[in-house]
Amino acid sequence: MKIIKIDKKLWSDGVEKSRAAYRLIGPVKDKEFHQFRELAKGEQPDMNYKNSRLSPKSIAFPQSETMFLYDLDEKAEAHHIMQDAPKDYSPRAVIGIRPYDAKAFKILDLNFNNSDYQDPYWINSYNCTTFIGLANSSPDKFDFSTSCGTGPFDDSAVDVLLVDYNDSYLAKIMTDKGSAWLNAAGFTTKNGEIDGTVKGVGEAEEDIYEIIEKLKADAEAKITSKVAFDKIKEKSILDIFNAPFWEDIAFACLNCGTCTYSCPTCWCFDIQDETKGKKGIRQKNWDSCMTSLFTVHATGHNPRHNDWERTRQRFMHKLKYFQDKYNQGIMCVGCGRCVEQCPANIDIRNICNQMNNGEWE
Amino acid sequence: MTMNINQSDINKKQIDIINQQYTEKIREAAKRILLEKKADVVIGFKNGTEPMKTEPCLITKASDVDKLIWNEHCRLNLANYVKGRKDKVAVVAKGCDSRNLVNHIIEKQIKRENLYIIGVPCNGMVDKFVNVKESKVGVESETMQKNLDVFLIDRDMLQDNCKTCISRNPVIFDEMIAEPVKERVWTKEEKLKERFESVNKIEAMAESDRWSFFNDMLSSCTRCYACRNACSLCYCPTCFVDESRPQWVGKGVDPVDVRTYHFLRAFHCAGRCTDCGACEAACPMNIKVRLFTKKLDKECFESFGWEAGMSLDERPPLDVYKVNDSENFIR
Repeated sequence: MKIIKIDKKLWSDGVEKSRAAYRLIGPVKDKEFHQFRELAKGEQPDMNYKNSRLSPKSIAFPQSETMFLYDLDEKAEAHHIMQDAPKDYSPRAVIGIRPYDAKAFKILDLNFNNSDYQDPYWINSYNCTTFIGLANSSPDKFDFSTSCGTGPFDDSAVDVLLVDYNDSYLAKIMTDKGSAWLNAAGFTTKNGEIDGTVKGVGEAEEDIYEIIEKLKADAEAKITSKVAFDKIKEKSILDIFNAPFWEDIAFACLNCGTCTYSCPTCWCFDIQDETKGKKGIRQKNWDSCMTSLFTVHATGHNPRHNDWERTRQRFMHKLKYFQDKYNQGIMCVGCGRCVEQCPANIDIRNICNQMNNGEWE
Repeated sequence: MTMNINQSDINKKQIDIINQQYTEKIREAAKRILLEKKADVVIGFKNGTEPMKTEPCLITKASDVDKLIWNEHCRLNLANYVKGRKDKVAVVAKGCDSRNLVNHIIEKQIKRENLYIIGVPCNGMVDKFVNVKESKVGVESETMQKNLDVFLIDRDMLQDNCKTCISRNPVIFDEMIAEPVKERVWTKEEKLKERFESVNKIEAMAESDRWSFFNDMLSSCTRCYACRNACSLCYCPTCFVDESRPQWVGKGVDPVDVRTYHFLRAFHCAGRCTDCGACEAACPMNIKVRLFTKKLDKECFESFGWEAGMSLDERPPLDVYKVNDSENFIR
C-alpha cells in the first residue's frame, strides 16, 4: 500500500482535472442537508461535510431507476417489447464518501451480486465507480460504526482513503482503481512522497503510518455508543422472533420509511410499470418493510398484518437473518442516520443490545 | 443583548421546573388511574435515547409510571396512538392532542367513555431542527413578536405551529395536571394575518413562482410517509397512495406523484387539521408540509369561521349541511 500527501492547495484543481476521465459525484449541501449527487462542472465536493442526510447508496441503487422502456402503440416498431433503458456506465468517482458508507456498498453487493442473483444495474453502477473515501475525524454522537465491523478510518471498502492532516490530505492508495483516479487528478509522486515517510514544509520527518494510526485512534475514541450482536447469532431465530419485547419496542414506531430510506444497507425494492398514453417504463423503486403494501398478497392476506410485526422484521433482518445467512456481521454499518432521523426515537442500538443481552422465557 | 441572555436563562430554569412538576403530576395521575382502574393503559412520553428526543410509550403497570416524562420535546401527537384501540385508554394530551381527540370522537374513531384525558397545559414545543438550522426556515413577522410574553421558550426555538397556537390548554380533559397556561387573545383579523402568514405569502406569489416554490419545496421528499403516519387524521384502512387495485398514484419519486400525494393528503385533512405540527416534526427532510394543510385551514376559517377540534358539539364544515350556507348553489 502506498500513501501520498496531497497539498490542499492543489486539491480542487486536481478534482477538476480528473473530470477528463471521470464523472464526479460528491457531497453537496442542497438546501439544508448534504446529499451525494453528480457534481456540475466546476462544482467541488464539500470536504468539510459531516454526514449526508440520505446515504450515498442511491449512487448505485437510486430511489427510482428506469430499467426498461416500452411502447404499446401497435404501429410502432418493436411494440410490446421491453427495450433496455439507456445507461451511462462510463467511469465515475465518488469523492468524500465516508468509510462506513463505502462499507455499506460491500453489504449491498452481497445481495445484488451473488451466485444466485446478479442485478445488472447494481453491478454495472458499482463496477464503474471509484470510491475516494474521506476518513471521519469527528464522528458524531449517533455514530456506532466501530462496533459494526467498520469505523471512521476503515479503508477496506474504498479505493483511496483520504485522511485530513493539517494543510494536506494523506491518501492511502488501496487499489489500482484508486491509483488510476489519483493519476487522472495529477496527484502523483510529484506532489508528495511515497510510502513510509511524509515531510511537510518545516516539519521533521514523520512516520506517516504512525500519524494515521494516531488520528484513527483519536477518531475512534470519540465514538462512545456501541452495540453487541455476538449472542444474537447463538440464539435461535424463533427464540428472538417470539421474544416478548417486540410490541413494546414497536409501540412508538410510526412505520414510516425514514429509517429504511436513510439507511445505507436497506436494499429492498419494488418493480413497477408506469404507462403514460401508449408509452411506458418499467422501474425499480426503493421499498420499505415498514409498509403494509410490502408484504400484502394478491389475495389480500398480509402475513405481516400488524405494525409491530413490520418493525420486528426490520431488526430481525438486519441483526439476525443477515448474520445467519452471510456470517459477515450485521446488516448495519453504524452510521446512525436512522437513530438521528427517526421521528419516534426507535433506536437500533438499544434494540440490538436488547436482542443480544436480553433474557426471556 | 445581555438582557436577552438573562431572560432566556430565566426562562430555561422556569421550563426545567415546570417540566419536573409536570412529570411528577403525570406519573402521579398515571399511577392513580391504573390503580383505580379508570383506564387499562396510559399513553404518554418517555425519555428518548438522545437529548431533544422523546418516545411515545404505553404504560400498563402502575409500577412503570416512572418512565413517563414531560418536556418541550414531546412533539408527536398522542391522539395518533389512541386511534383504533379497543381498551380504555388514558392519554397525556397537550392542547393540540386534545383537539385531535375531539376529532376522533366526532369521527367515531374512539368513544369518549373509553378515554381518560390527562390534560397538559402546553408551553410550546422546541423545533427538532433548532440546532442544525443555519437560518430560520419558517415564516416570521414583526407583529407576531407581540405574543412573546405568552411563551417561556425562546420564540426562535419554537416549532412554527406553536408560535401561533390558539389552544395551548386542552379543550377536553378528565383532569389537568397543572393550572392552565395563558392563552393569547386573538382577533379574527390577527388570526387571518398571523396564523396564515405563510399561506398569505404564497397566495401573493405569481402563479409560476408558486409552482417553482412548491417544486423546490418538495424536491427532497422521499415519500417515506412520516408526515402521514405521524398524523392523527390519517387512519384510512388503506391510504389512496397504497391502493394497488386500482393504483391511483405512481410509486416512484416523479414530481407529479410526489405532488399528488402531498396535495391530496392536505385536501383529505381539510376542516380536520388542528395544526399540531406532528407532520413537520416527523419529516426527516424538514419539508414544511404544514403549508398545504394551512391553506385549507385558512379556507375553512375564512368561509366558515371553523377551527377543528375545538368542541364536541359541532361537526366539521365539510361534514354538515346548513341552510344559512353562504353559497347559493348548495341552498
